[in-house]
Amino acid sequence: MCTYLAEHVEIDGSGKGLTGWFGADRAAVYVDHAVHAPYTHTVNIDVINPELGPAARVALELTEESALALAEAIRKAIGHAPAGLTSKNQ
Amino acid sequence: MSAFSPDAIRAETITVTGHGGDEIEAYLARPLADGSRGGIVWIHHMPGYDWETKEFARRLAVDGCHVVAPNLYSRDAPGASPDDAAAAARAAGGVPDERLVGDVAGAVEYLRALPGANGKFGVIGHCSAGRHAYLAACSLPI
Repeated sequence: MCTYLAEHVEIDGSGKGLTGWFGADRAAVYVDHAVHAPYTHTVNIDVINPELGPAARVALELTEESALALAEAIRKAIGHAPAGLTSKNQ
Repeated sequence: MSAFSPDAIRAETITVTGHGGDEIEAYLARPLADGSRGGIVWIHHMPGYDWETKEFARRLAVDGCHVVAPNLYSRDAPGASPDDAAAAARAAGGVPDERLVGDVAGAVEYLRALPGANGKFGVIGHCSAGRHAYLAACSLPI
Protein backbone atom coordinates (compact mmCIF):
# COMPACT_ATOMS: atom_id res chain seq x y z
CA MET A 1 0.00 0.00 0.00
CA CYS A 2 1.44 3.34 -0.97
CA THR A 3 0.06 6.57 0.45
CA TYR A 4 1.03 10.18 0.73
CA LEU A 5 1.60 9.70 4.47
CA ALA A 6 5.20 10.62 5.18
CA GLU A 7 7.18 12.17 7.98
CA HIS A 8 9.16 15.12 6.72
CA VAL A 9 12.02 16.52 8.77
CA GLU A 10 14.47 19.36 8.22
CA ILE A 11 18.02 18.13 8.62
CA ASP A 12 21.48 19.67 8.61
CA GLY A 13 24.36 17.66 7.23
CA SER A 14 25.58 15.89 4.12
CA GLY A 15 24.88 12.71 2.24
CA LYS A 16 26.73 10.82 -0.46
CA GLY A 17 24.58 9.95 -3.44
CA LEU A 18 24.97 8.88 -7.03
CA THR A 19 27.03 11.93 -7.98
CA GLY A 20 29.04 12.31 -4.77
CA TRP A 21 28.62 14.31 -1.60
CA PHE A 22 25.95 16.94 -1.31
CA GLY A 23 24.54 19.16 1.42
CA ALA A 24 21.30 17.59 2.63
CA ASP A 25 18.55 19.68 4.17
CA ARG A 26 15.51 17.41 4.23
CA ALA A 27 14.53 13.84 4.94
CA ALA A 28 11.35 11.91 4.35
CA VAL A 29 10.47 8.75 6.27
CA TYR A 30 7.56 6.64 5.08
CA VAL A 31 6.22 3.12 4.58
CA ASP A 32 5.82 2.11 0.96
CA HIS A 33 6.74 -0.51 -1.58
CA ALA A 34 10.43 -1.28 -1.88
CA VAL A 35 12.22 -0.67 -5.15
CA HIS A 36 15.24 -2.85 -4.35
CA ALA A 37 14.90 -4.57 -0.96
CA PRO A 38 13.36 -8.06 -1.25
CA TYR A 39 10.18 -7.16 0.64
CA THR A 40 6.74 -5.99 -0.44
CA HIS A 41 6.82 -3.07 1.99
CA THR A 42 9.66 -1.39 3.83
CA VAL A 43 10.40 1.65 5.94
CA ASN A 44 11.92 4.04 3.44
CA ILE A 45 14.16 6.98 4.18
CA ASP A 46 15.11 9.62 1.64
CA VAL A 47 17.85 12.07 2.58
CA ILE A 48 17.57 14.78 -0.03
CA ASN A 49 18.24 18.32 -1.18
CA PRO A 50 15.40 19.36 -3.51
CA GLU A 51 17.36 22.43 -4.64
CA LEU A 52 19.98 20.16 -6.23
CA GLY A 53 17.52 17.99 -8.14
CA PRO A 54 16.08 14.48 -7.85
CA ALA A 55 19.45 12.71 -7.99
CA ALA A 56 20.63 14.44 -4.78
CA ARG A 57 19.26 11.61 -2.69
CA VAL A 58 20.48 8.92 -0.32
CA ALA A 59 17.82 6.25 -0.09
CA LEU A 60 17.26 3.45 2.42
CA GLU A 61 14.68 0.64 2.35
CA LEU A 62 14.62 -1.19 5.71
CA THR A 63 12.51 -3.76 7.49
CA GLU A 64 10.82 -2.26 10.52
CA GLU A 65 13.09 -4.29 12.79
CA SER A 66 16.20 -2.87 11.19
CA ALA A 67 14.74 0.65 11.01
CA LEU A 68 14.02 0.62 14.73
CA ALA A 69 17.46 -0.85 15.44
CA LEU A 70 19.01 1.93 13.36
CA ALA A 71 17.07 4.58 15.27
CA GLU A 72 18.23 3.09 18.56
CA ALA A 73 21.82 2.88 17.31
CA ILE A 74 21.74 6.55 16.35
CA ARG A 75 20.64 7.44 19.87
CA LYS A 76 23.34 5.22 21.42
CA ALA A 77 26.10 6.56 19.18
CA ILE A 78 25.23 10.13 20.11
CA GLY A 79 25.15 9.09 23.77
CA HIS A 80 28.67 7.68 23.55
CA ALA A 81 30.08 11.09 22.60
CA PRO A 82 30.38 14.17 24.80
CA ALA A 83 27.11 16.12 24.84
CA GLY A 84 26.91 18.64 22.03
CA LEU A 85 29.96 17.35 20.14
CA THR A 86 27.97 16.91 16.92
CA SER A 87 25.47 19.68 17.55
CA LYS A 88 24.93 22.51 15.10
CA ASN A 89 26.40 24.72 17.84
CA GLN A 90 29.42 22.52 18.51
CA MET B 1 -7.80 -9.29 -43.19
CA SER B 2 -5.24 -7.77 -40.85
CA ALA B 3 -1.65 -8.85 -41.30
CA PHE B 4 -1.04 -8.76 -37.56
CA SER B 5 -1.77 -11.44 -35.00
CA PRO B 6 -4.21 -10.45 -32.21
CA ASP B 7 -1.43 -10.23 -29.65
CA ALA B 8 0.88 -8.03 -31.72
CA ILE B 9 1.37 -4.64 -30.08
CA ARG B 10 3.36 -1.45 -30.40
CA ALA B 11 4.55 0.29 -27.23
CA GLU B 12 6.48 3.53 -26.97
CA THR B 13 7.03 6.77 -25.11
CA ILE B 14 4.82 9.61 -26.29
CA THR B 15 3.85 13.11 -25.21
CA VAL B 16 0.32 14.05 -24.20
CA THR B 17 -1.14 17.42 -23.32
CA GLY B 18 -1.94 17.30 -19.64
CA HIS B 19 -3.27 19.66 -17.02
CA GLY B 20 -2.82 23.32 -17.81
CA GLY B 21 -1.72 22.53 -21.36
CA ASP B 22 1.56 21.05 -20.12
CA GLU B 23 3.26 18.56 -22.41
CA ILE B 24 3.98 15.49 -20.28
CA GLU B 25 5.64 12.16 -20.90
CA ALA B 26 3.44 9.09 -21.25
CA TYR B 27 3.67 5.49 -22.35
CA LEU B 28 1.42 4.21 -25.12
CA ALA B 29 0.69 0.55 -25.80
CA ARG B 30 -1.79 -0.52 -28.47
CA PRO B 31 -2.64 -3.54 -30.59
CA LEU B 32 -1.40 -3.52 -34.17
CA ALA B 33 -4.37 -5.41 -35.60
CA ASP B 34 -7.32 -3.37 -36.83
CA GLY B 35 -10.37 -3.34 -34.61
CA SER B 36 -12.69 -1.36 -32.40
CA ARG B 37 -10.71 -0.54 -29.26
CA GLY B 38 -11.61 0.71 -25.83
CA GLY B 39 -9.11 3.04 -24.18
CA ILE B 40 -7.58 2.69 -20.72
CA VAL B 41 -5.63 5.27 -18.77
CA TRP B 42 -3.25 3.40 -16.51
CA ILE B 43 -2.21 5.47 -13.48
CA HIS B 44 1.11 4.58 -11.87
CA HIS B 45 1.48 4.15 -8.13
CA MET B 46 3.33 6.43 -5.71
CA PRO B 47 6.74 4.76 -6.26
CA GLY B 48 6.65 6.01 -9.78
CA TYR B 49 6.36 5.67 -13.50
CA ASP B 50 8.34 2.48 -13.42
CA TRP B 51 9.07 -0.65 -15.44
CA GLU B 52 6.07 -2.45 -13.94
CA THR B 53 3.76 0.38 -15.02
CA LYS B 54 4.87 -0.07 -18.62
CA GLU B 55 4.47 -3.84 -18.31
CA PHE B 56 0.86 -3.41 -17.17
CA ALA B 57 0.22 -1.19 -20.20
CA ARG B 58 1.70 -3.73 -22.60
CA ARG B 59 -0.33 -6.55 -21.04
CA LEU B 60 -3.60 -4.68 -21.50
CA ALA B 61 -2.68 -3.92 -25.10
CA VAL B 62 -2.12 -7.63 -25.73
CA ASP B 63 -5.66 -8.09 -24.39
CA GLY B 64 -6.95 -5.69 -27.05
CA CYS B 65 -7.07 -2.25 -25.46
CA HIS B 66 -5.44 1.06 -26.26
CA VAL B 67 -3.51 2.09 -23.15
CA VAL B 68 -1.86 5.35 -22.10
CA ALA B 69 0.07 5.62 -18.83
CA PRO B 70 0.92 9.27 -18.11
CA ASN B 71 4.05 10.06 -16.11
CA LEU B 72 2.51 12.05 -13.27
CA TYR B 73 5.98 13.17 -12.19
CA SER B 74 6.97 14.67 -15.56
CA ARG B 75 6.97 18.16 -14.08
CA ASP B 76 8.63 17.29 -10.76
CA ALA B 77 11.64 15.44 -12.10
CA PRO B 78 11.87 15.27 -15.90
CA GLY B 79 14.33 12.63 -17.02
CA ALA B 80 15.03 11.35 -13.50
CA SER B 81 14.98 7.67 -12.60
CA PRO B 82 11.52 6.54 -11.42
CA ASP B 83 12.52 6.18 -7.77
CA ASP B 84 14.29 9.55 -7.64
CA ALA B 85 11.31 11.17 -9.36
CA ALA B 86 8.95 9.58 -6.84
CA ALA B 87 11.04 10.89 -3.95
CA ALA B 88 11.03 14.39 -5.47
CA ALA B 89 7.27 14.27 -5.94
CA ARG B 90 6.76 13.00 -2.41
CA ALA B 91 8.95 15.77 -1.00
CA ALA B 92 6.85 18.28 -2.93
CA GLY B 93 3.68 16.97 -1.30
CA GLY B 94 2.57 14.57 -4.00
CA VAL B 95 0.48 15.05 -7.11
CA PRO B 96 -2.23 17.71 -6.67
CA ASP B 97 -5.70 16.30 -7.31
CA GLU B 98 -6.58 18.93 -9.90
CA ARG B 99 -3.40 18.21 -11.84
CA LEU B 100 -4.07 14.48 -11.75
CA VAL B 101 -7.54 14.93 -13.21
CA GLY B 102 -6.17 17.22 -15.92
CA ASP B 103 -3.44 14.77 -16.86
CA VAL B 104 -5.91 11.88 -17.08
CA ALA B 105 -8.22 14.04 -19.21
CA GLY B 106 -5.32 14.71 -21.57
CA ALA B 107 -4.57 11.00 -21.80
CA VAL B 108 -8.23 10.30 -22.63
CA GLU B 109 -8.15 12.86 -25.43
CA TYR B 110 -5.05 11.20 -26.83
CA LEU B 111 -6.82 7.84 -26.73
CA ARG B 112 -9.92 9.31 -28.35
CA ALA B 113 -7.87 10.36 -31.38
CA LEU B 114 -6.30 6.95 -32.01
CA PRO B 115 -7.48 4.99 -35.07
CA GLY B 116 -10.07 2.41 -34.04
CA ALA B 117 -10.98 4.16 -30.78
CA ASN B 118 -14.58 3.24 -29.95
CA GLY B 119 -15.25 6.14 -27.59
CA LYS B 120 -15.29 4.01 -24.44
CA PHE B 121 -12.70 4.84 -21.81
CA GLY B 122 -11.72 3.61 -18.40
CA VAL B 123 -9.10 4.35 -15.78
CA ILE B 124 -7.16 1.87 -13.67
CA GLY B 125 -4.68 2.27 -10.85
CA HIS B 126 -3.59 0.46 -7.73
CA CYS B 127 -2.29 1.58 -4.35
CA SER B 128 -2.20 5.38 -4.31
CA ALA B 129 -3.33 5.24 -7.93
CA GLY B 130 -6.49 3.46 -6.80
CA ARG B 131 -7.51 6.71 -5.15
CA HIS B 132 -6.42 8.59 -8.26
CA ALA B 133 -8.50 6.30 -10.48
CA TYR B 134 -11.55 6.86 -8.29
CA LEU B 135 -10.95 10.61 -8.35
CA ALA B 136 -10.60 10.68 -12.12
CA ALA B 137 -13.63 8.44 -12.69
CA CYS B 138 -15.76 10.73 -10.53
CA SER B 139 -14.46 13.90 -12.18
CA LEU B 140 -14.40 13.06 -15.87
CA PRO B 141 -17.00 11.74 -18.32
CA ILE B 142 -15.36 8.33 -18.63
